[in-house]
Amino acid sequence: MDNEKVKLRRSDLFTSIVLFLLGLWIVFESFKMPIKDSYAGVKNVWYVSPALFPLIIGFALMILSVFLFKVAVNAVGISYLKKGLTKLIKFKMEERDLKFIAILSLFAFYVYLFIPRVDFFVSTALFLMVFISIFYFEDLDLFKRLYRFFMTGSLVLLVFFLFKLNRLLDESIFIYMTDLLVIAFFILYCSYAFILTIKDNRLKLRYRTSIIVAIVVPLLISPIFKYFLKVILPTEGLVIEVMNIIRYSVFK
Amino acid sequence: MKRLSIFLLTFLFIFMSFNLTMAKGEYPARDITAVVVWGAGGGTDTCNRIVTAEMAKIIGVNINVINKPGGVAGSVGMNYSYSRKHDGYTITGLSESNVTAAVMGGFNKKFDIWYPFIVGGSPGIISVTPNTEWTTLEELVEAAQANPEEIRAGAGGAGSIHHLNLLALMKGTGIKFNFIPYPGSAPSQTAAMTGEINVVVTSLAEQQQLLRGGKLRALATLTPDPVELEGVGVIPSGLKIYPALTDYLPISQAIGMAVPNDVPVEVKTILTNAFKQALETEKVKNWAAENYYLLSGKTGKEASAEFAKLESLFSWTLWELGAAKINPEELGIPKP
Amino acid sequence: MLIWERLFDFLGIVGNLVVDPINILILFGAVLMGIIFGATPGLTATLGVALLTTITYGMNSSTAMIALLAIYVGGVYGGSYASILINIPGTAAAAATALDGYPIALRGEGGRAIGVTTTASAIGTIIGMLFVVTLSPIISNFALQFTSYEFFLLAFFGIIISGTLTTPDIVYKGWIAGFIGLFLATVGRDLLQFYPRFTFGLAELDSGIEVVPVLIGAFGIPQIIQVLRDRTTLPKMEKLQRILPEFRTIARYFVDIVRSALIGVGIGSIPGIGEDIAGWVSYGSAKNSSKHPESFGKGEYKAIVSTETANNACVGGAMIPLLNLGIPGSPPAAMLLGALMLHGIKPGPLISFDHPNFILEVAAILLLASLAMWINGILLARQVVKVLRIPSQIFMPIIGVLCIVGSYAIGMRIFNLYLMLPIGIIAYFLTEMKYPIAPLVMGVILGPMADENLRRGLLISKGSLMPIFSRPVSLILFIIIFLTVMTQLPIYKKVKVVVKERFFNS
Repeated sequence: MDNEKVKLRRSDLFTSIVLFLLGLWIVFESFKMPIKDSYAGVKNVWYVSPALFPLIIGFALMILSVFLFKVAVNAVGISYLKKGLTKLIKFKMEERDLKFIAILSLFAFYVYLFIPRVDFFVSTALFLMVFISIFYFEDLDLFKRLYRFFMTGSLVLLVFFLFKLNRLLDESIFIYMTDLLVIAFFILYCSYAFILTIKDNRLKLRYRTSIIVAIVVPLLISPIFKYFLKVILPTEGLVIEVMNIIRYSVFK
Repeated sequence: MKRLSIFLLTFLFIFMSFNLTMAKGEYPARDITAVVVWGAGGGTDTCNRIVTAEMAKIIGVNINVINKPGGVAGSVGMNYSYSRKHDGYTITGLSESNVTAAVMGGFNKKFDIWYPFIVGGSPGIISVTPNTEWTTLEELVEAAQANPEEIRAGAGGAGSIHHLNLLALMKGTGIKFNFIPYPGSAPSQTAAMTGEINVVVTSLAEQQQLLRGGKLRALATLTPDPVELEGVGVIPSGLKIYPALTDYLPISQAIGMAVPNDVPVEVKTILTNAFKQALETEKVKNWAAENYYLLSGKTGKEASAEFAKLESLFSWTLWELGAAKINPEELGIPKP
Repeated sequence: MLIWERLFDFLGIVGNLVVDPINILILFGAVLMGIIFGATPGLTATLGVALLTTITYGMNSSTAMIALLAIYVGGVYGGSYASILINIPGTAAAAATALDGYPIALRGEGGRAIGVTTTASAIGTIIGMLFVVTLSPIISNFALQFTSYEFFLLAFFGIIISGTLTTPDIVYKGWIAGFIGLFLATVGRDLLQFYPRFTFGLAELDSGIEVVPVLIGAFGIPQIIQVLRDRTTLPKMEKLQRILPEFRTIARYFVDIVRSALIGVGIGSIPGIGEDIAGWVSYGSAKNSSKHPESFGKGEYKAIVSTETANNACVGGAMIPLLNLGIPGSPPAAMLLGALMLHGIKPGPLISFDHPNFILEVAAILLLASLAMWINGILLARQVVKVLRIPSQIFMPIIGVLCIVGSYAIGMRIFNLYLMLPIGIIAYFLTEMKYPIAPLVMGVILGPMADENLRRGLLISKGSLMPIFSRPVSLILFIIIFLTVMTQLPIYKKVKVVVKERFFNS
């Protein structure tokens, strides 16, 4: 067996246990459902129970995970379970893991923090700018610095949103104050990236491309979805409202 | 960098100046969105698309129809459109079955928060698979009396209007069917064609093609009046055959639209006028006649009263069946 | 002869439609829009048809039909672009195409693959159309053979077959992925009794997990992470790439095309299931009939020809029960039904009396749409392949935004985004451990159907499973499922060896 396969079987050893537990949990939860209880005027026998199908799934998952476990044990032996665990604890972050976490956190902030609260154009431009710049510069040092900068800013904003300070600002000063704040963050990020890249001609060019793409893409996507596909965007704040005004004053 | 900030500043400036001029504008100043809480292609969707297209011509802006199905009894769409500004730019396309969203635990308000417009509905029809021996409602009822819970009868899911129709029929005639639920009217009709079930209740609009094509046999209407269907003849009224049914029936379909009740009065007036005019247009009238819809045109108080009646009937029936999550009493829904 | 008369009528209708330049303009515009919809992850043919329903409200009914059918055909075809070039199926229908299309593109033959699928899709659509004209009454009766048990078995078959075919490692992994998908499908209120399952009291989960966020999350997120993290490049193009109709390649796979088209029409005509299953079943039969099945999954032209023919033939298949019984065969067909009603056309058994030429007109439009699609495809493919010139560090973030907007757009629910990301992460780990993703998505698509129909079947037969064995269609389906599963188990191999020794080596 080649190295790749061995690695795969080792991880199978662990996932089969996780899957078995998932199956067990599904079965456990299903037994809480009404098995014979009358519900909604439909006849009340075991075979109409909403638990029937999840039970089948749960048992099937358990059986299949046992099969998988057997294959894995045959390949690498059960003793690996213990060795693997100690390896897992001594986990060392490699470059690819860092990148994985960066992509994940970018998506997470975009989806859970910005999209529901900040103007769609602004949040998308920020997401794209950060996402493109950290990878496109192809420089691990810049990657780390820019990523750190973004994380710090986003965490500040997270706290800000958690305490509902954004509502306070929006209501007391100007209804789109939050959007302005995130725009400010965007500009700050761009300036920071600008300072980092100014000395290198190749990077300067890439910086410019990133910023253009980050602004042009949402500038195209937002009106296409809003006016042509009639999709009401998740949050319509400052910039979308400006688009509205332009749209209704030009095509009236 | 400089360019960017200048760009943003001009943006802001334009915005501020426009915002002031926009605020004074009269309704409707921009496109209206109609949020249909049922799936694309269904009865409520079709009704809304037809009527809003005519209303759009009258009030002079586009009305964009979007679908937002999901949740229980359309609760996702209702919650969504109720959470938008109550300025008349969001209309909700709904039907009688939405009144159960509250007791099913999907929408935490009674139906009287809406200002409804009722387009109309189509009478409910009870039909059987053509190769069965029943040709009249009496024969079916007798057969069901002889074999209680043996005959398989289907309708859209639990709590849908046709399920309630079926329940009313069973109560009024004292029979029992073996009720098989389907996710909607169309699948229940298909099942009746394949013979998987033998009795089906859906609306005339949904069934008429199959009745005329001989794929289903109509026994009776579940409304006070008989209906004449081209190529089939007169379908008698079940309420005439079994007068005891009038205690439970008719349950009329009410497809239409609504805006929240606290929308400004002048907006409601504009919409009401446009709605009434739209129902008078040839296009809507012809469409209704061709599809066997009876137009209603009720708005405001009248329509609210009708929905209140439906709400109490639906909610309490579901509660008695054990399918409701929340006691209608808690919501202040009176017993029918 | 009646058939000649019909053919003559048909040509007359085609002629009538073609002479109006506006019709031609709308035809090409709608096909192009459909292709863009199909190719963009998250925008589906259903959404396209829904959108055009409103826009075409004011047009006369044949122009409106041109627009609607053209966007439907284009949308089903367009899904293959994203599948082949970036390994993220634009629509569920194209998921089977990604399996071999992407490896082909990695070899640098992306343009050729698109050329082949374009022609195959057009042929598939045309064969589907021929069935609409000639055999629709017979096929619509076939559709009525399907009752609850058949639907259950068919749904189950769809999951098992995609699990068996797609797994890059052990076959159990494909099935496990399928069952995880089925589990996701049970979330929400159950369809028979409205009992909330696995909702954790969240009202947002009551209506269950939608397909589009799962499709996009499970295919899109892992691909984005993999490309950027390991700096693996997207497929490169050859320098001088010409995109040709590839008639010679097509001719070589003539048998596969015919078989796939038949599969597509058959599956399309069954109410409720559509292009996605057609693609998988056709992939499976192509693999089984191949002399070297081991090359499947590594970039086999036979595979993409089969899947793309089948999913486009499905369009015609879905039209058959829609027109003759008023039962939509697939989700976009359901939207089409609504659109027809708006124009005063009521599909059903009487359509040939109410609107004598309507079925022929639909067929004529399908023919024109497939031609327009073909021309568009051949012209467009060359430009589309160019997107791969964009550096992946710029391209993938944009795809990320499109994935997010796409999964939001279908139901306009931010909640879908909240679901999409965790599903994407789980899918990423599964892909890393060589679990196939397609069966998971199929499970989510077909789960409600399997669940509901199994229980309804039992309700009708009062708890007996006997109807499975007494009804012909369900028996056949059962046997196929049984054999598919058994041949994959180790016992089968042992038995095979024993049998061989006993009977042949003695």
